[in-house]
This record gives sequence, C-alpha cells and structure tokens, in this order.
Amino acid sequence: MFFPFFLSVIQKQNQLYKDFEREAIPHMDALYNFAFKMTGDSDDANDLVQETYMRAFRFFDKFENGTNCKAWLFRIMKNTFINVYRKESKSPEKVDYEEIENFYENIKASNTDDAHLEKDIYDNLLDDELTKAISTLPEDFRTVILLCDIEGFTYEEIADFVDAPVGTVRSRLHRARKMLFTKLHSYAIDKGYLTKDLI
Amino acid sequence: MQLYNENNELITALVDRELPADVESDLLIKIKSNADLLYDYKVQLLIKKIVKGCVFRKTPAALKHQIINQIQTEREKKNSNFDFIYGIFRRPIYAFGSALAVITAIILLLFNPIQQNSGYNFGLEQRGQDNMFVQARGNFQSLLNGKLAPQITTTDAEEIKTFFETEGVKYKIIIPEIENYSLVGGVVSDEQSEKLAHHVYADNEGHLIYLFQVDESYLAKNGILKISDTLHSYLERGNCFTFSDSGVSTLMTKKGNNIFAIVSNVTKKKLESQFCNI
Repeated sequence: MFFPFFLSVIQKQNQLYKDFEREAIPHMDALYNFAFKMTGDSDDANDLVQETYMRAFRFFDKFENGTNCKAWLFRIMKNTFINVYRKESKSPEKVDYEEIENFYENIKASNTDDAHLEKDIYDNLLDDELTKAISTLPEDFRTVILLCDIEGFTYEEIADFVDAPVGTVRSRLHRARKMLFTKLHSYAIDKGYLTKDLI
Repeated sequence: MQLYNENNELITALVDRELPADVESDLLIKIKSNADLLYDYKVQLLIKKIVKGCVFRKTPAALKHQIINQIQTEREKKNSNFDFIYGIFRRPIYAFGSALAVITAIILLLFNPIQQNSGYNFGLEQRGQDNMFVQARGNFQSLLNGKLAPQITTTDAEEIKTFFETEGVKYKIIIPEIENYSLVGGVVSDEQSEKLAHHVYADNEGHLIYLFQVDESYLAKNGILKISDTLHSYLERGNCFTFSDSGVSTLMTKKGNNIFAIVSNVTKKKLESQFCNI
C-alpha cells in the first residue's frame, strides 16, 4: 500500500511541475519587464523575478486552476518586492504633489500651442531616460502606471493588486501621468528636443 | 475651475477606457468645450502612449535558464524526499524495519486468515506471453473459439494421466473430480522443451472448465513460466486468487507442489466453491 501512495505523490508533483511550466513560465517576460521598471536596475530585477518564481513554485498547489495566473504571479512579486526591497529603503517616499501640480500648470501656461504635446518629441528620448523617469516616480504611482499602461491591467485588477479602491487607482494614475509628464518635459528641454521658445 | 476639479480624474478613466459609454460621451463634450480639460486629456493620452511604447525588457536568457534549473532542482528535491521513504522498504540496512513489518503482517494474517482475494487485483500484474495467468486465459479463449482441441478425448481421469506421462509431463498431475462436470480430454503443450499438462471439463449446460497445472519449480526465477512474485507469495500462503473479466473467470491456487490456473465461463463464486478446497 505504501508504494502506490508514494508513487501517486511523485506523480502529483510531476503533474504540478508540468502545470507550472505551462501556466507560469510564459509570464516571465512580463514579470521581468515590470521588475526592471519597478527597480530600475537589472540586477535587482533578476533577483526579484528569481525570488518570485521560486515562491510561486513552492506555493503553486495553492493556485486555483482556471484563475488569472499572471495576476497571481504579480501579487507574489508585489509581496516579494515589499518584503525584500522595501525593507532596504530607508524611509517612505514623500511627494510634494502641490509642487508638481504648480510645475504642471506652469508648463501649461507657458505654451501657446500643442507642439510640446507631440509624441515625436519624446520619441527622441532614450529608453534608459524613460526608464529612469519612471523609476524615480514614487512607488505607489510607479506601480499603477506600469500595471495599467504596460501590462494592460484593468482598474479592478490594479485595485486588487495594490489593495486600494478603484477611485484611488484612478487618482494615482492621473497624478502619476502628470508627474511623468513634468519629468519628461524637463528631460526633453535638457536634451534640446524642446526649445526654450516653446516654453 | 470647478468643472476642471470634478472631471480631471475622469479624464484618466476615459483615456483608459474605464468609463461607461454614457459618461464617456458626456465627458467628451465637456472636454471639447474646456481648454484646461482638453490639455489634461492630451497629456494623459501622450503619457499613456509613451509608457506603452517604451522598450519591453525581455527576461535575459541566462536568467530564464537559471530559474528553470532552480525549479527543476526544487522539484527533484521534493521527489527525492519521497524516493527516500520509498527506498527504505527496499534497503537491506533497514532489515530490522522490514522484519518488523513482516512480523506485523504475519500477526495480521494469523488473526485475519484470507482464503480468497485480499481485495488486491493481482491480475493487473500479470503480463507477458510466458505468464501462466495470461497463457491460461489465452488458451481458454482458444478452446472456446475452437482453435485449441484436446489431443485426447476421454472422461477417464486415469487415461488422461497416462496420456500426460507418455507425452513427457514430468510432474505429478492432480485431476480433481468436479460435481456435475465430466472430463472432456487433455492437451500437452511444449514450453522450452518442457511438457505441460492441460485438461478440460464440461457440464450439460455449455460450461467449460479449463485447468492448467505446472510444478511450482517451473515458476521459479528464470523458470519456463512466471507469475508475479506477489501473486506467488499469495498462493504460497494457501490462498485462492480469483479474477473475472468479460464473463470469463480465472482462479489460481496451489495444491501440493502444483500451481493451478483454472479458467471457465462459470461465475467466479462457482469456481471458488469448486477449487478453493481441492
């Protein structure tokens, strides 16, 4: 009676591995891309993805078949990020949103046309500059913008991910895009893609 | 300004297609008529496009390989835990444990004597053309199909025994008497130059009972026939194993030095009642 029992346990483990390979491995690129943009560093992204996958494999028997595996993996990554990386950060980021809002209003007021809103101008920015701009956003804002604009998560999925109401997600997204706009606008001026004449 | 404050976050939801259709069309009208809202709308659209278009960082191949390897190792570690327990039962160094298990099993058997099946289907373990159980079932089907005919036709047990002896069967043959059944005849087959005895009974209702018997030594390791070790041990303990499939019943038992494989188109119970005390 022992042999069939152990055999069945091993078979179950093997099946679990096959399911993991089928369900979880294909999302690795999405997780890596998110990790890279969250941490802004390839070594940190490597560690984060690695740790996420090891945790996911250990707890894969808890994953409900037929549910959203990508969202499940992102939740694990978020928890890993909080447990591992947030411990290392010295203090929570403080955002002087009023200052950003003033800066935003100044840009708006000093431009008489929409030339500074042309995407082509910002296409000149290097990907590293864009990644740097995203990675300097406060974590809460960075998370929602990446999940929404890169991963295509719905507000409800993001709300579930960040444990906040949908209204908060919408508000953070609104502010995150404004913050990013002010940063990219400054980069574009620094690099000479936007002339002072336009300001 | 009031209008702007009420609607600026709704613009974000509009850009993300998260608004119901009616709210969306109302908001679009407001945006067209308000420069501040329009500016906000353009900024939100612009940033969404820029972020969406930024380079997608694929997992470096080395990292992917490393993760898959780590998972594979983790999996093997999990399996090896079970392999270890599995292996315990087969290692000589755990002889004491094995002995204890055997003693426990004997005690259990003494208090729970099993005469028929223990519930375990030994039939599933019987494979291969040199398996006695498989051969017996195959021969019975051949008898039913008319592909196998008795080499001697007689109702006399002594005559069949003499036939077996003269045909070269080396072991002592047992031909039990079965109530309401008459002997039909016998066949001697050749397996690696060893002669094997088979005989058949029939009743008046079209039932056949085919009996194949060999000396136990023929089933020894590297013998000319085989049955699974577990079934062999089961029969050694004086048990009967019965198996029924597609209207054909098979019974295996041991009497004296002979192992019997009996196949019939009667019920399993009928076979048990006839042969478990032969």
